[in-house]
Amino acid sequence: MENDLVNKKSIVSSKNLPKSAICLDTSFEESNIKKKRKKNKKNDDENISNVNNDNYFEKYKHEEPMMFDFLTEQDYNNYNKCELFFKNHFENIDMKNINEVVTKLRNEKDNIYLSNYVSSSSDSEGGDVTECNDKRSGEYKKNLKLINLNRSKRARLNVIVIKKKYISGSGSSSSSSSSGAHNTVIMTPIFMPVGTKSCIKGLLSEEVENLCKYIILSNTYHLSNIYDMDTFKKNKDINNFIKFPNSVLTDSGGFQMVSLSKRIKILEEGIVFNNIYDSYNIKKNIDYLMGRTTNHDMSIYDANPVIDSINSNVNFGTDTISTVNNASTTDKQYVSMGEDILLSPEISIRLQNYIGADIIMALDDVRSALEPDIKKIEDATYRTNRWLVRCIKSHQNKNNQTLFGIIQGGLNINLRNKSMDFIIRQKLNGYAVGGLCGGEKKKKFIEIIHHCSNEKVNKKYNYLPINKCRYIMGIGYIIDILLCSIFGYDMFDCVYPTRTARFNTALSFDGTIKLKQAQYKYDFTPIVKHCKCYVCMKYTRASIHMLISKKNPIVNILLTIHNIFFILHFCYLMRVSIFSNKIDYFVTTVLYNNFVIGVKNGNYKIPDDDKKQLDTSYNQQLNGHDKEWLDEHDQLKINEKKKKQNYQNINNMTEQLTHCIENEKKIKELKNNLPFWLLQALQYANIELKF
Amino acid sequence: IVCWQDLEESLRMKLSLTKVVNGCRLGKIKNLGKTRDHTMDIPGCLLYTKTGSAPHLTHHTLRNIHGVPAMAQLTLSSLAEQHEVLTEYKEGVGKFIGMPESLLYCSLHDPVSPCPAGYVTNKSVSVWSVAGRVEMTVSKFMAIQQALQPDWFQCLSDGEVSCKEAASIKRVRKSVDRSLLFLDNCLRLQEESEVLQKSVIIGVIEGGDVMEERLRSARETAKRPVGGFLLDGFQGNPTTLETRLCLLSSVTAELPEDKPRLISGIGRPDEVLKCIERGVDLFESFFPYQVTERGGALTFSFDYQLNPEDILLQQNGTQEEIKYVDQIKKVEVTGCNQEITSFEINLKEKMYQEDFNPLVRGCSCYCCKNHTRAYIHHLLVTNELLAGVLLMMHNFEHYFGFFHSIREALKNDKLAQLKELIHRQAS
Repeated sequence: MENDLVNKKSIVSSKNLPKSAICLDTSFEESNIKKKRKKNKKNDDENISNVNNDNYFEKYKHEEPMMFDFLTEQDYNNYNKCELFFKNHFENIDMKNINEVVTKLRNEKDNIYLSNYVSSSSDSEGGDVTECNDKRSGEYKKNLKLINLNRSKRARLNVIVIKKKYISGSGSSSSSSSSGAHNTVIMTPIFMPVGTKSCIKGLLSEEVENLCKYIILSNTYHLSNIYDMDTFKKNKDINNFIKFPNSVLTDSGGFQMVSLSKRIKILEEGIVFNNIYDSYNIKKNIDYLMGRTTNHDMSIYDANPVIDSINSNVNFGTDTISTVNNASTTDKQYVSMGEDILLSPEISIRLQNYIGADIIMALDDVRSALEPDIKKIEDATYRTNRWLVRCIKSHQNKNNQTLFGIIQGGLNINLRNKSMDFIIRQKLNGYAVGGLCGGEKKKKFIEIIHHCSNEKVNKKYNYLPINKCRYIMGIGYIIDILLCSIFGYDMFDCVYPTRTARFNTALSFDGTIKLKQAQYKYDFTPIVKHCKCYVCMKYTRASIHMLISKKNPIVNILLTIHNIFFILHFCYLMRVSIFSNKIDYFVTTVLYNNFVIGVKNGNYKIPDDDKKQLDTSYNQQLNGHDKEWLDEHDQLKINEKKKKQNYQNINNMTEQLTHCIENEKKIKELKNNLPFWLLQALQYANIELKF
Repeated sequence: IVCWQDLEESLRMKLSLTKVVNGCRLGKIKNLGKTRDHTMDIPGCLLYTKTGSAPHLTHHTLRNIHGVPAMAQLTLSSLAEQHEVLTEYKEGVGKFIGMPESLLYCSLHDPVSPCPAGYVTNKSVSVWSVAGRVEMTVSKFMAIQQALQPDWFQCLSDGEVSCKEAASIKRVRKSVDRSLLFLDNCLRLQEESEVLQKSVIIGVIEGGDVMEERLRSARETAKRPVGGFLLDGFQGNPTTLETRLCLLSSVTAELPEDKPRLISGIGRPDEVLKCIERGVDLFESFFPYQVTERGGALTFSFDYQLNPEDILLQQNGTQEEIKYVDQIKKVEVTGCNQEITSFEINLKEKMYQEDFNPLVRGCSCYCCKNHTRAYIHHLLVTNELLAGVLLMMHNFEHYFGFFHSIREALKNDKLAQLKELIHRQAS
């Protein structure tokens, strides 16, 4: 056959036909062969799938994650009652009177909710100097207030009351429950879904409203690039523009230093972005703002002094100019030099003032967590401090927007202390820990978050105050949210749940479910059993798998809805657990679901599994700290062995006891699977593993 | 000779005409669905879907649209590969895809992506999915239908001749013969299956552009116990349209009055009206989907009670934009964007950047009530998923509204006004 083909070809070529004809001929053969191959392959596939059909359920056996059975109906009811209590008492009051309301409620005899109340957000440390004076007159001047509610170990349940900006009934078709309410009452710990460009990708504002009862996040850099600031002004703040009745937080654009790290330069004045967008809008916006502020910072634009004041660390030179892709530029002024845009603390804050979110973030100098040069991190930390002062100065809407400062300092405790010492003295209403979750070792991450909220050990100004919002930036994995919550943080944000949804991955209690995998083809169960989101109610894993295999874009939307619902529901379960003082059980169940069942099911991969690394080099030298841990771990093992022996003697006793043993077994299994950094975290947070 | 008695169960749906004006049929189809409690108005359209879901829309967003047709159109090409899964699932494609309450009609091909010719044999027809060709014999076809459990399904048929410009009479005759053979075999298999008896087979009228064959196809198909008729292969470019419309009138004259007539591939409002005049009852709704995919919004007016000036105002708002309509036409002529019809506006155009009007003034769709043209433009430019969602919502609602308007006009003897209005916007 092959010879035949060759012969044919040679005959054709000998006839001196034009080359194209020969090409056509051969390509035809090739395509035929390809087709045959495809056919064969297809047959193979079919065979495989038939085989799979028989062994399918055997092959893809799943272990179901544990449910949160330790939470009784009573627990849920109590928590819901509590949430309702705060809604009823704080949703419709004037923010001015919030202190009075709190005091009044505290003095009520049968009030059980405010016993843990430490002090309100601005009683002891609120506001800057001028506002301290105002405070004495009794009127609360800010738009945000945190009320401490409950603690379970170091985990805390807080209430954040934020004044609403949404003007309901302004042409909105949705009949929102929030109609008439003055404030959003947020229960923490809470995850804030991210709508980078002011909308969560693919969702209608109505869906966003139904999903996110509390707060969402948006980004100044992106917003000011794609919108005219006039839009926000005309629409009365971003909340009304996107028709979102609850709260909005805008990030300053500092994070883009990491996400767009190859396109930025850091100067003392601010960050220079080699813009990824058409710069028409952002330039117009900046001009618009600067035209209105007769501030000192005008000089940046007029006199072009930027290059003179370059920080010695920053290599700023011809390479910036060479990256400019817009040819029609004049290098007379810095800003108009191609697509380079300067985002200074002043500009960032003024932009955020115009966007009008409820919480705005200071511009910080974020460095990658992997930055090896400690000097650079030190510089960045101090620069963040200096920028914060400028941010506070240029913040013009203090009564309606709360400014959060950001703690920097990389993975260095000393620098973190210095950062906190400076920033907490600025007496802001909330503080964020930045620069984490950028690929650093989990052990380091735990040390930093443990340290920054360690109010019992650290001296004042070296931990985030109890009566202020604590926000960790860039946290989105379920386990990370759990860990941050047990260290007493309130707010988290990350694009992870929504982004991973667009990569066909669903969140579940035992890790992530990659619905594209063949194993879900015949899986007629919902994505997550008992999940109340409407995607899980209407669709099965098999139908989502089919939509993915058919490349139907609707899958992105469905999984986005599921993931946001899931992560917010997770936070809800966590809050109920904190409220009922069952955080130990909650942590154990979540860890067991992920580190034991999730690993078994192939849905969870343990990050930084230091135990595995140790197993391979078990006898190698260990540094002191780790060794301590190992010793303790060994001790645990021995104890367990003893216990096991004991149990074997009484194994034929009651059912309760076998249940007990089973739990003990599970905990042992869990402890074996947990990496050292996590065990350490549990110890720091004083969490006891138990079922 | 087959005895068809056992199929009576599947034919219990009833079409009753309230009025026939100039060939246009106004009426209701009753006793639809497995529970026999659905009704559908004619003339009407089906809900276009991609792999069983309305494009861009979740079940939840679909509920925000007014006037969604009771029956959705599934395409076998997109679902054929799911055969085994659905067989295993046992409860039918409707529940599988999260639309248990919708009536389902399963067509062979996707009207938006026509299939390549040359793959029909005496024994099988091929459909094309994302992964490639799926060859279907009668038995495989019926097995798939048994797994899908649609309310109606298009019978296996040879529709290739209408894709070609000029098919030989011999080929055309073959297509009719084959389609009738497929139909008989399908009916036989349906008779044997209890599950399939709950579904209704829609017979397909083939015959290309040959009058004689079209008539034969219609007469022969009408003799068989089908639930309705699909008029296949009448779509085409404007030059062939006139001759095909002529064929259409002759074909519908041969069909029994009490069974619905569906047509494939016809979507433009002006063409829809022409087909309704020739006795067609049901259309697909791929047209609003195509408009959405090219970043367009349907803006044509179908309010036959408005005077012409109000219509222009409703559509365009300002004088400036009326000028712009001419621009679109120019674009059409130059061929940069051949597809864009005069029934829509292209929101990707920069002129909409600061247009804070709704897509269509007075439109009651979710998109027009909540968002502006500028916002949609921005979503399109930044490639947000939401652009497709919002445009699809508007375009569907607009298109469904158009069909509602046709029925109202028929009821009130105002179809001439509506036709005139659509005709004016057509060129």
